[in-house]
Amino acid sequence: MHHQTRSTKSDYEIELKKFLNELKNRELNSSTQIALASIRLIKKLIGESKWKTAGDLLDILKSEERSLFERIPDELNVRNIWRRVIKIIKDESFNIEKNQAQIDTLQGNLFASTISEIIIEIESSVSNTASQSLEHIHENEVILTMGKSQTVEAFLKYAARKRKFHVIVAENAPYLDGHEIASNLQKAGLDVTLISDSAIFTIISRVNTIIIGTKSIFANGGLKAHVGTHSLALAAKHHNIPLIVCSSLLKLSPEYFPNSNNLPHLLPSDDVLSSNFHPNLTVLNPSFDYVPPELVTLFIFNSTKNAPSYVYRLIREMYSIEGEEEEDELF
Amino acid sequence: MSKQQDQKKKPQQKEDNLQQEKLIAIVLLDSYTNKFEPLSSYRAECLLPLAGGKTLLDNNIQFLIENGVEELFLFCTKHHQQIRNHIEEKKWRKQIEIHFLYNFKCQCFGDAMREIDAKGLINSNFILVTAPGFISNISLKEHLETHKQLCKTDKNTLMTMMCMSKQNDLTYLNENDQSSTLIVHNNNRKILHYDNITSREFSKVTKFPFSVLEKAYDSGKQTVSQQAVDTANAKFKLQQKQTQFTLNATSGYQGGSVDTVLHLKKIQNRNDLVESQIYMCSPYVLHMFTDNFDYESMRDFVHGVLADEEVSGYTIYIDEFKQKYGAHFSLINSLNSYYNETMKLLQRVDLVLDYYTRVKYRRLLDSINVHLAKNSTMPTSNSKFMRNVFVDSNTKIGENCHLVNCFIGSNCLIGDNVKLTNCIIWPNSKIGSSTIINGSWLGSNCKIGNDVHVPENTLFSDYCKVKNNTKITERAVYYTKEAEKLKAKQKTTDSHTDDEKDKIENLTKNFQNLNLDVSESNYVKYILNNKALTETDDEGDDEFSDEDYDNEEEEDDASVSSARSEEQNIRNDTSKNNHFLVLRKRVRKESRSESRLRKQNQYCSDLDMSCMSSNELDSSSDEDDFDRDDSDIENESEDEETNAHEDETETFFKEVVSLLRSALKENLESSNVILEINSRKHANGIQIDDVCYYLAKAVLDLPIVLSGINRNKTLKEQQEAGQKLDYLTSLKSYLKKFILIIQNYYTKTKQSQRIFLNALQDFFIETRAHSDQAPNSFLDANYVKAIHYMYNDLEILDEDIVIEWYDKQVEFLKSSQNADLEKMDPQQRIQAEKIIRKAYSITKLKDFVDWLKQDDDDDEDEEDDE
Repeated sequence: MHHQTRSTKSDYEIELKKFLNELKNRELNSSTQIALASIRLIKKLIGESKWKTAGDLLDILKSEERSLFERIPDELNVRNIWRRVIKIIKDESFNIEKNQAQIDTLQGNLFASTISEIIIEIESSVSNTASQSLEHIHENEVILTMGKSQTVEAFLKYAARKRKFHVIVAENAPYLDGHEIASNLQKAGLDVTLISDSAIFTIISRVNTIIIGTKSIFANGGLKAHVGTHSLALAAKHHNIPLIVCSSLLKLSPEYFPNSNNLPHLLPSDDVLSSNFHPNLTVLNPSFDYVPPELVTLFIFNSTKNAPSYVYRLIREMYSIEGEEEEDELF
Repeated sequence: MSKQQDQKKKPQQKEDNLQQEKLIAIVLLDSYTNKFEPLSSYRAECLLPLAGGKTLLDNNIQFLIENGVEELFLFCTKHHQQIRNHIEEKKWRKQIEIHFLYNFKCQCFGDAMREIDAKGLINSNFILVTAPGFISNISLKEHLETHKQLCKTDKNTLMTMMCMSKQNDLTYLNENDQSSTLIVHNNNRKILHYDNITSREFSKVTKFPFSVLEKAYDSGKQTVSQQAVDTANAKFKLQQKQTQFTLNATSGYQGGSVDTVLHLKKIQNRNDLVESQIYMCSPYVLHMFTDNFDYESMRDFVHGVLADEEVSGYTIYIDEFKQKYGAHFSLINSLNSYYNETMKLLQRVDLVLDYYTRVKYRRLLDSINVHLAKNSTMPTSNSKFMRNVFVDSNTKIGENCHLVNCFIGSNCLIGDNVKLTNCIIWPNSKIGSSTIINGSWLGSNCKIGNDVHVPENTLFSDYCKVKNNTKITERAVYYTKEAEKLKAKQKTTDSHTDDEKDKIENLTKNFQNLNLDVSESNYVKYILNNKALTETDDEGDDEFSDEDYDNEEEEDDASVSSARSEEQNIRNDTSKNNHFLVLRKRVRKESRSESRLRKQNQYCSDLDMSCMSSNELDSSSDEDDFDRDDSDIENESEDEETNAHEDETETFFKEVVSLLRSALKENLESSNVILEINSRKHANGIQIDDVCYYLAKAVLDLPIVLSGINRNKTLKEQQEAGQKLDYLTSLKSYLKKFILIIQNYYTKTKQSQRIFLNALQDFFIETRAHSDQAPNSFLDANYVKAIHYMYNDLEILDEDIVIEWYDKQVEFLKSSQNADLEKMDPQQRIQAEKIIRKAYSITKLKDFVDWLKQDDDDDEDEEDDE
């Protein structure tokens, strides 16, 4: 609806295009970067579009969200941020309507300040999570991690300041970003061993705790994580080793993993086999694994730690639920 | 940059420093080769379709825009009108400034460059793209930056040549008809020697002239003296081997062996590079072409520059696309590379499907990598047999088609039981039913009859027709005269009619050339057009009944060549395909259903866990809530409170209904639905009993909600609107779907069972499917049957509890039935009426309960007997 009111190409559209390009060309490396980029996008949209009441603004945000996520259905974290903002504006505007003393410009300022709160939360989430590490890593333990996660790296480094422990890193093929984290940790003075993914089961019996990151978290507490995480989690279950997931709160998504007998998360590519291959040879390269919640022992978020079974209550607090809006159409 | 240029630019230099210069790209739309014949004979090379509703040109422009290009010069020779129309149609001008340059006289790359220079439009650095097409997700930005740096440090920089490394890809060069380039460069990536290696020449020994080492020596002398001494030693050794230096490159394709053998750090010998045909040029490149009339190709240009280096001092550098995870660059500059890249692309559609076009396609969830345009139709049963398929808009696919690795263009018609493997099918083609095509390529507007078998590596050019029941044995390119005719027609509409005849004559010559060019590659063997395979008349035409086709048919008769006898020869069986694939599919299907079973078991155990907590809370309050309606009456004094309570339960009820709806739509796991219900319970602060009560009602209400019936209309109106309700059957199907949820909530405690029975009773009493329905007819029709189904088939209900509940109801009704309706005030009256209806429903249940009791007795008797 607001498309008609915006005549020329706005800054928002330019920004949006840039954002989508960066996503496509994988220029945004960490989830923090993606989160910050998308919050900037929202800020632009709020600052630019014409609205009088909070209701208008919500409509604009919602319709923009809908059209955006038809295009990038797999980017759960970006969507989470949009939903977060919508929820916050909804709550704030509810308060304002009750007082009714405020004027529009004030509202704008208010939204801007709440959004900058989210930015602060994003920026500080890594360090906040890391500061809890001493409760989970003890002297002379052996920790296993897989692939590169900013949060896990900070988590381990923080603990290493006070405790001495050994870290085993699985390389996470075919991304091989495990190599990077291994050398980073080694430079920071940790005791590091690098193994291939196939060696996980062999090594895991001597591990005390597994600490991993994740791409996002589904509403039932299941993980959307790098490929290979599921087999790691199963190995951990087999040996009864606790699996701890470090994550920012923004990775919590109110969506569920689609029915599990499908393979919708497969994004096969020639990254596994980079050279030319015969078309009859199918090369599958799934982009992520679904790890069911019963394999996860504990989530460590910015400020709290929770069991997987509690995740859905956190989500209920963080997002407004879509079903509530559909009612009107229904009855 | 030349001195002249420097002077011109001086006033603008401040701007340059701020990097505000507009980024310009020149795209040459003609490769001046015949690598795309016969498909390019009446279609511009750059307009070959790609997956994602794009053409090669669209993809290139998109790539350039993404890399920050703001102004685009398109230069074309052939088919300029076509390209112009395409640009207008796709509205590219809205996104980027486009200049159209055109000269049909250009014969080669050099001509084109001279022509562009003559127009005098370009005075700044630019990106030159000579590739007909490429597929990439690499950002040029970094490379542009390094080029800029180079220009600053070396004022004589003419050009940076972008290359990609195909180190492990011996086959790549062969299969894609591409030539690798031998480049020798020093450590600054300055090119010292340049040569093409075609795939056939490619051997383990590469040769380059000795002078290259001298050049490296010269440049080394100026910088590091110690290394210069090393170089001198090397030179000495080499002189013994005479003027030509032979390098054994078996150990790898990089120049590692040069380094180790000669201790010469100054040069790198690369024969693993393939030119990307993207160049970053200074404006002087164009002048160079004008100055040297004999430059025909880029190769001439580079050779020329290298030869004159000592005189002019100009330098050319190379830059390599960075190898990182997920980075992709592939070049399309021949038929083979087009075919291979398209096949690869089907596995990675995200490379061409940018976020704006993605909306037009849907990804099928139960098969791997299948993308279907939203306005194309295909029976859902097909998707089991599909893998790596891309179907463009407005295409119809019949029943039971096996499609693997296929790109199907727009407006195609594909019959039933068709098997396509590794196929490219261009727009507007038609394929009859039961046809099997393997690893082949159909141009646009082809018509293939029923039961046709096509072996691998066959190419049908545009407008080919194949009769029913043909079995093609010869792997070849089939080409029709008709296409030529059409091309002639099209030419007349183009502006330059003068050389039209020449061109058609040239075409046949071209074909002879082609025979030489491509025959050795493993893809296609060209056959001259007198062997074209055309269909004479309406024999096999029943499949394609549209009128356009019939009209064309008449024209065809005139142009039929001697194809008939050819056809007879061709009827040998070649179909031995697909067995492997079918087998594999079956295996996969089994394993899927197994995993589904396992999952379900897993979740069953989960369910127990998740509901335990909620049930524990409430198991004590057994009797209090027994008759919810009664308690409502008693609570009249606490009116406000109950109102608030009703609000909450009301919203809860609505939420549950919409949740169940979306669960059906999205096929959510039952355990996830339970989580959602629980979370809504917490959010609205609702007791477990209410959850049970309203959930039951919501489930029972689903058939009516989902059938889309408007309850406020009369039966007649509903029928007129085509609304139909088969309540019981749809209820049964929903109950089956949600059986896990129902078991979770209603089989744990006695209390929940009673609530369930209450909810059932209330629902059937209250509900009317349409406004003029008689008060109890809905109940009459469905109540007992529903209960029976739940008891007997689903085994949700426990017979003891049903009997107990029934007895209590009867008792309660007896005590309250004697009241006099007339004397009551309206509100009491409503309640009383409710009670009467309850009593009615109870009488309905009598037979069922009697049967239960009898059953029970029988059981006991049996037990006694034993």
